[in-house]
Amino acid sequence: MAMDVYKSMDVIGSALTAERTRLQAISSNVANANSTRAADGSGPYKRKDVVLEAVPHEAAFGQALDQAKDPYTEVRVTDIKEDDSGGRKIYSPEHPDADEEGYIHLPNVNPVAEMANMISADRAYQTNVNLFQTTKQMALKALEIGK
Amino acid sequence: MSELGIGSVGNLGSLMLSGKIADAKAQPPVNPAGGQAKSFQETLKSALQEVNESIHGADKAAQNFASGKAESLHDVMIAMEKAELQLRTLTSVRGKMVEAYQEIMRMPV
Repeated sequence: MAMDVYKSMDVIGSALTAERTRLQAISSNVANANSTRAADGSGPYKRKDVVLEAVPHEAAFGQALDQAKDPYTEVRVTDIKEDDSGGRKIYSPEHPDADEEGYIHLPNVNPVAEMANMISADRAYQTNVNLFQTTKQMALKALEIGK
Repeated sequence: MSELGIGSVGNLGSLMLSGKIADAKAQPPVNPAGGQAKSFQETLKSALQEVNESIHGADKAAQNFASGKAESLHDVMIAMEKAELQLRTLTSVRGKMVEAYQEIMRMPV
């Protein structure tokens, strides 16, 4: 019993980490919604997207587990990719980063889409916290069997 | 909030060290007959060690978080919850054991 509960908790923990990473990417996107220069100096900031991957739960202490029968699958952030789609272009000839035609290139960040992503990440985080609480309550209920 | 966390985990730790471990260690003579009693004693001992380690781990995670070194808050909370659950399980095993011991002691001979 116990091991199962702890495994579930690990899986939920991995999901919390993933959602938090998503939120970090979203906050850097929103923070840089008007950045006309990327960190490496090339062009405007490009919005970042988190790539999540399902990975089998690591068997504790080298135990060989039958993966097919093991329901525990963690989630892991495998990559943070840059979105290469084009951004907005506005005419602002007095801006230091304006091109020869007087346009500045703004990041491809759409604040409304970022807010929607934020809500999605937040809800997913809350769901996982609820899942954790339920897991814990079930374990505590199991302990009450003996009382 | 994290201070509260450290405090509570610290308390669990000291509770373990002062009362509960001593209590549980005093228990093994319950059934001094044969190899089975010994293996139970060993099981209990290793369980105690495991719980103790996990409580110390949670304590350390909370300290790391408070001093700004640590990973994420939810990892600290999960470590603390795991430690608490382990301690509760252990305590209820101990409770059962003491109950059985007292039951036997009350037996009229």
